[in-house]
Amino acid sequence: MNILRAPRALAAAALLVQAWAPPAAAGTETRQLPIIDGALATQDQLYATVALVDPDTGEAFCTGTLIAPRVVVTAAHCLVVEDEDTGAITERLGPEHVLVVAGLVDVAEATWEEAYAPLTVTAHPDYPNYAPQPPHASGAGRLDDIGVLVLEEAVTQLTPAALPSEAEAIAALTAGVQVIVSGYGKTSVDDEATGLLFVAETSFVHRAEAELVLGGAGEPDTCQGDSGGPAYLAIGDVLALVGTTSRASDDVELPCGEGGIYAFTPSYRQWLATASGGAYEPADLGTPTGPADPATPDGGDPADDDDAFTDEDFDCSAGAAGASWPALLGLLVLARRRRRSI
Amino acid sequence: MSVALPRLWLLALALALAACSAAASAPAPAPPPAAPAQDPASQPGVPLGGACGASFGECDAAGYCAHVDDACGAQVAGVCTQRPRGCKRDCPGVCGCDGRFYCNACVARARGVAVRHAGRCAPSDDAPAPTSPDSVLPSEPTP
Repeated sequence: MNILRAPRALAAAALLVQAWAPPAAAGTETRQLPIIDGALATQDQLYATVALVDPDTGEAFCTGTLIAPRVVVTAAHCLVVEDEDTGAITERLGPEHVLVVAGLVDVAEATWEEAYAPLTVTAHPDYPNYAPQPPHASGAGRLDDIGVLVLEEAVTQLTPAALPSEAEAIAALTAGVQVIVSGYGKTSVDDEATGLLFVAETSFVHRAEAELVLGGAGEPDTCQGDSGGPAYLAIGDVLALVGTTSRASDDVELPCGEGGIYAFTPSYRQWLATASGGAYEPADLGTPTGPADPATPDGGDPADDDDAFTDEDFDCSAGAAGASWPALLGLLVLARRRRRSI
Repeated sequence: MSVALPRLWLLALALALAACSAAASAPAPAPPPAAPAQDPASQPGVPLGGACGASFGECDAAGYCAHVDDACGAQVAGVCTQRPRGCKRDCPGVCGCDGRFYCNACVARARGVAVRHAGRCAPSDDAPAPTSPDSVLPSEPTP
């Protein structure tokens, strides 16, 4: 199925993995980081990651991952409203409540080109499924915190991420293996801003039924606003989607920074296929022998995206909060226009 | 810190043994002076289950004040309730009773702050006087 910018991007990804050791690379050390201890993404690190934006405010409230040209996987809890006390679902978001922004490190720069409206918005029907079996101290088990958006139009800026089979993912998820987490989450524990894409590497700790535990104290971690976003794992030549950001572990005190729980996305391939009405078709990674890419109608044009990943690509690193307002207005205008057109 | 404590104990024990023959030497040596904030739940404040709010006081570091009205306890007492864990990582945004923005209700409560309403705070959502200046760690329930 889909190979991220293969094989060229893979070279870049491999480079990245090696170059990851100093995560807070140039230009980011003075900022508080949303993905705790991560770094602002470069254009080459967008991978298949997208932002879920509230059309009314222009703010990124969650993250998502493109798994087919018109299909975005995210967390179920991003697509419903829950009662603060009982946890009962009181509302399910409709397509008019979400815009998907793709291809940008900074959501505030979004124009009509990068904003995609969903046709359908579907949270997993069993969410929140509170029956972890067997229970794990982290609380990981099976929350079914997964959802899917089918977009009106195909995303052109990104190549969909490969979603491996359970067996393929499990075989590659060895203890301590490094995974790449990414998201448009807020810029620090105390900050209010979301909308800048950050990436980090953290370690795989444990898989409990249909969820993963990633990271821990002292390691990079996802944070609020990163929900629904990806945990990628290099399997062979492919940067494959293995996790969807959900929540903090139960056995730690802080909401983020001490490890988190992720839906084990490969467990949901069949459901994603059904819920997307066939717009996503499961396909195994198969033998890593070449960039054959049958399941991706639009393989993407790699011409504009070579391996020139540089740490100097931090043109959004300054004044994110301040800079966001003009473009935010732009998004609002977009949203209005969109509503009229629906 | 957890390393230092046993050593102090040993030291105290050694001292006690040295001065042993004196019959009633302290069986329980006084806690070493260097015992910095380690038991957050015992810090000052209303314990879990107690009444809290503007005129009742703040919850201790284990709790947040769950209000029965939407006025953040200005009129009616709330109940100190266990701070949650395992918060979801979405960020639709809520306004806390301290007049500050939090990504979601769980995150606010995890930091000891109840929610005033959904969405960003407005200028009229100023913090009520006695609210603490929000702490990241649950060990700072400014009284």
